[in-house]
Amino acid sequence: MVPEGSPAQTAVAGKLAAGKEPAFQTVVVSARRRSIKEAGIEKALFAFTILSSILIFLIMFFVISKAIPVLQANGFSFVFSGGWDEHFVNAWLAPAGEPSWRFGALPLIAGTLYTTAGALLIALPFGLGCAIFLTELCPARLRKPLESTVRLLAAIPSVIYGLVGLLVVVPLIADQLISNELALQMINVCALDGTSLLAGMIVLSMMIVPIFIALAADALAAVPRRYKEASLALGVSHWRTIVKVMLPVARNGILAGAILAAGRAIGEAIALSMVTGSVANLPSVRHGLVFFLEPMRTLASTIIDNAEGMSVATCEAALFACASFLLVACIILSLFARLAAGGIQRKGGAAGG
Amino acid sequence: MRTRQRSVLLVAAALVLLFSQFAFAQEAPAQDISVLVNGQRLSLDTPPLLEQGRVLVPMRAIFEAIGATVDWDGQTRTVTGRKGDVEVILKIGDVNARVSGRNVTLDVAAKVVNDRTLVPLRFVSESLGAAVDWNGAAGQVVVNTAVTGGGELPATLSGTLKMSGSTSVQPLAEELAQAFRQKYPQVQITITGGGSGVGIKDAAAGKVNIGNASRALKDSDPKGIVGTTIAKDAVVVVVHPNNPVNALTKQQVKDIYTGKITNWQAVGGPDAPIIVNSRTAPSGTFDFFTEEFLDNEKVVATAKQHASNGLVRQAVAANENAIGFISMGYLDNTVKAPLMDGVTPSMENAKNGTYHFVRPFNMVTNGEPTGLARAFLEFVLSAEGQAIVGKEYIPVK
Amino acid sequence: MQQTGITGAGRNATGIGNNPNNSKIMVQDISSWYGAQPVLKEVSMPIHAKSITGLIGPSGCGKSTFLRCLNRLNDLVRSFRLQGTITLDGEDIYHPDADVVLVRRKVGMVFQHPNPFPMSVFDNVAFGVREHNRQIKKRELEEIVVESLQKANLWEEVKDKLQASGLSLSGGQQQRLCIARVLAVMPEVILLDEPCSSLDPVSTAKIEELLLQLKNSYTVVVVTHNLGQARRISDYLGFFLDGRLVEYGAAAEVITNPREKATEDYLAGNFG
Ligand SMILES: Nc1ncnc2c1ncn2[C@@H]1O[C@H](COP(=O)(O)OP(=O)(O)OP(=O)(O)O)[C@@H](O)[C@H]1O
Ligand SMILES: [Mg+2]
Repeated sequence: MVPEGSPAQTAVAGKLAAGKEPAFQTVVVSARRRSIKEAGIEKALFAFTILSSILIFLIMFFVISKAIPVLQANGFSFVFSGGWDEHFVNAWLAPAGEPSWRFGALPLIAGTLYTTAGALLIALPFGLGCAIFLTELCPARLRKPLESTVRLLAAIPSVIYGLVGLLVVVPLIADQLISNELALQMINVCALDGTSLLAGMIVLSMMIVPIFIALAADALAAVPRRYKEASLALGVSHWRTIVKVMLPVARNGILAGAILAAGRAIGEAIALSMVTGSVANLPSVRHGLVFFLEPMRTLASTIIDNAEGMSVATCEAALFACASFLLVACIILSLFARLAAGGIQRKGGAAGG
Repeated sequence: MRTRQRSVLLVAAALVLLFSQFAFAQEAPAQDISVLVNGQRLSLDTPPLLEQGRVLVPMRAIFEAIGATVDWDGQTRTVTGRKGDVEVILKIGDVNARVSGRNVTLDVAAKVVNDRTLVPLRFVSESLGAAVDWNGAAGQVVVNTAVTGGGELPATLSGTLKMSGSTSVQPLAEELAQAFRQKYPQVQITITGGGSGVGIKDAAAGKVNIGNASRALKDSDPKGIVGTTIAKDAVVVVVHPNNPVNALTKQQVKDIYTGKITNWQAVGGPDAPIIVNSRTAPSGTFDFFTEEFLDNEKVVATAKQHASNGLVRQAVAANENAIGFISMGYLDNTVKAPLMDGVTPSMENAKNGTYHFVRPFNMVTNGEPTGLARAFLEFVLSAEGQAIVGKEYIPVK
Repeated sequence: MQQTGITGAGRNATGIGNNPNNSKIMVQDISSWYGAQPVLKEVSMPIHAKSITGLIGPSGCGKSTFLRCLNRLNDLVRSFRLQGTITLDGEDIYHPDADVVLVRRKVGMVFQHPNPFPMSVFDNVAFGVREHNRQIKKRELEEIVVESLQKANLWEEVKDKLQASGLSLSGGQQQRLCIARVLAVMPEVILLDEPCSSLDPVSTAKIEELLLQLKNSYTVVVVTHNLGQARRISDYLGFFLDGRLVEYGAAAEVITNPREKATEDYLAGNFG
């Protein structure tokens, strides 16, 4: 707390009481009291901010320090080689005297990138379309119920999406896209049974699209009316106004939504572990479109699926290495968000609103 | 107010102690000998009698303490004790006793002192399956019975219980430990892995209180250890209910899981790929499966790695070409268990031994369990503990 | 194709039909509502070509609403309803077949608060042009932008910072940028809703000067609260009160010799 009469505090009190005659003594006093309270709140908020950033750093430090033995033992081959499942069994069964530190997480890292990119590829255009429809085109009567539905969908726990994926998407892929011949042909490479990269992408996009719609719609709704009116008044059609004026103005918010969606996609574990096939297989583009039908597993799913292995030091370190990759991905995402926001600022000046 | 109450209580307790000491001193020549049954001092109205190096104690006290029933036939002056299917018959003043119909000759006969019937402690205890130790320094006879799960659990407990060993037992042990700690928050429990062999060795060497083993004890195991079977686990191979394959052999299962057979045709099914479902490495079922079905060969790399029995079952139920293995407790009509080497994989067959892929979960102690380990095992074998076991394994009670 | 049909000429006292052949826009008997609240009540008025029509009246009397009827910007308000007809060059702009985008192209608007897009000065002016002619050559576009900025008396001030954000200009410059933006799409009518309300006297003078230049080639409608401004620039003046057009006529006449008591009171500063 600021001690009574400290310079900072007197300044604040002085400002609040500016222009008041000495007769308004009580006003000055209460203003001073309030300013103490405000300063207290400010300090508390500042402390919370510091505390939470320290916490974040501690978490990072903890995770990465736990991962270091595995990263050191494997070097770049942790990132550039596969064989995770076999390595994990070996590490698990290794006698106490001779631990097995060999791990290759390429399929997991690539799998995380594939599912996230795929989900964003589906969710962003679709979500943006929905957001535009919601804010600009939809009849007034429908808007409220549709918005609440979207918000509800955004709040549904991921395991529900996983279940839907498991009971609807996976069988659909298995029945419609995978023939017996194809499965037989591929059986020595991977087991095609519908659990697949494609199922992961679809389920993940279903999961992130509501958040993205909600945030993008908010961003569009926050576009100041004056921009829209100015454009329409120039004789620009509604659609072109949306595309050329509203979307660029809302870009910051839309991007924030996309980054949040990407963050959720990268970190999603349960739903993906249910529908992607639970095997550290690296889908290969050499197989053509079968690429999408191949089973795989992401970093986050691996952490969940293999969590039981934590009691063996090597396995634990390997899982923490997976976690540290997820952390790094999130940091990169938020840096990217900053860069993108900065770019917008530089280009068009402070985007209003 | 409160402090005064407490001091009154203290004084009273001290007096009681003093008088009991005094009473012993008055009447008992073998006053220094005490009897500890399962860690609790046996309270005796007549002191133990030392005769030719043998300790005799009042019959009712000892029989009841080790969980046996006792009958006294005043006419024939015969004592009959029963525990489970063991029957012990002693005659006053007669060195010839009978244990379950077998004749045994004693060093010292049962006798009557001060209207009390005294019986030889070691003979009675060992005949009824309890372990007896003589702690000369403390003048203490230590008797420990096998844990039955019927024993009463103390109100409070504290200390540290260490376990190591089988990773198959570990998840169950952890779950049991968690429930146990809910009852006794003061108790610390550490559980480490290492495999059944390590657990047994650690227990024998006194490094841990309990060694976990997911197999029966063998003759080659260290002497003096006692295994308490807390659960049984049967592992069943399952396929989709529509799969026409109704019987498999262990060899076929092995070939499928090691990737030698990839088409159902090879085992009498349709021309379709076999989708192999396995468990993640830390799973005990996986451990057992690789040991018993695959003779420790590696599972094919294309196998799907599921984190639980439920997920394997779900995966098999969802795909007509799938195969998987699960704990028998998970068997339901969403999947089908083909005959294994001609035997129906049923709970009954698992219990009666015709279905081979069953393993006991043993908790191994150095001698009969005492102290914290004993309390824990009592809990594990109690109805509550066995209910936890029953969630995923075959309970033993 | 609808006739301008000024059959009601002379029927009311607002001076409608004074010079029907010269009117760019004819407003005939319009009433409007926001939901159930009536705003405009039976307003009829010609807007004469190549002249400045000033609109005055106390706050909330419906001037902005009226102005926004002329380019159908009120269509954005869901609860808005309109009765009566408004014709632009004899064509009903509210006809079901009328092309609202085309109407707005012909009838440009400058708002009360400067609202340049968050883009560069150049892009602000070029935006509408590009949208109307997507194949336009770069050179041609640049010519239009420069010309529009010159017409808006802004060129000298921004010629060195065409790539700076439109939002970095001063308020007066921003408003002239908005005018340049409208000029660039070559409308026939320019509506201005209190264009100087947020500007200082110097900027205001510049814009007034600009409007006087513009009336040589455009039809201009200005809403203003500033009676001096109305006096200085208007050729025709309409006085609104409570949704009604109380008085309309040549500006000089309305100001010096109002027919209605209410107008007189308002001009005398007795209310509003
Ligand atoms: N979008 C709207 N929705 C509902 N009512 C509105 C809307 N716009 C204006 N109104 C109402 O219509 C009436 C006229 O408003 P208008 O903006 O036309 O007045 P004005 O004459 O321009 O006032 P000012 O001089 O203050 O700008 C007011 O009562 C206002 O509350
Ligand atoms: Mg207005």
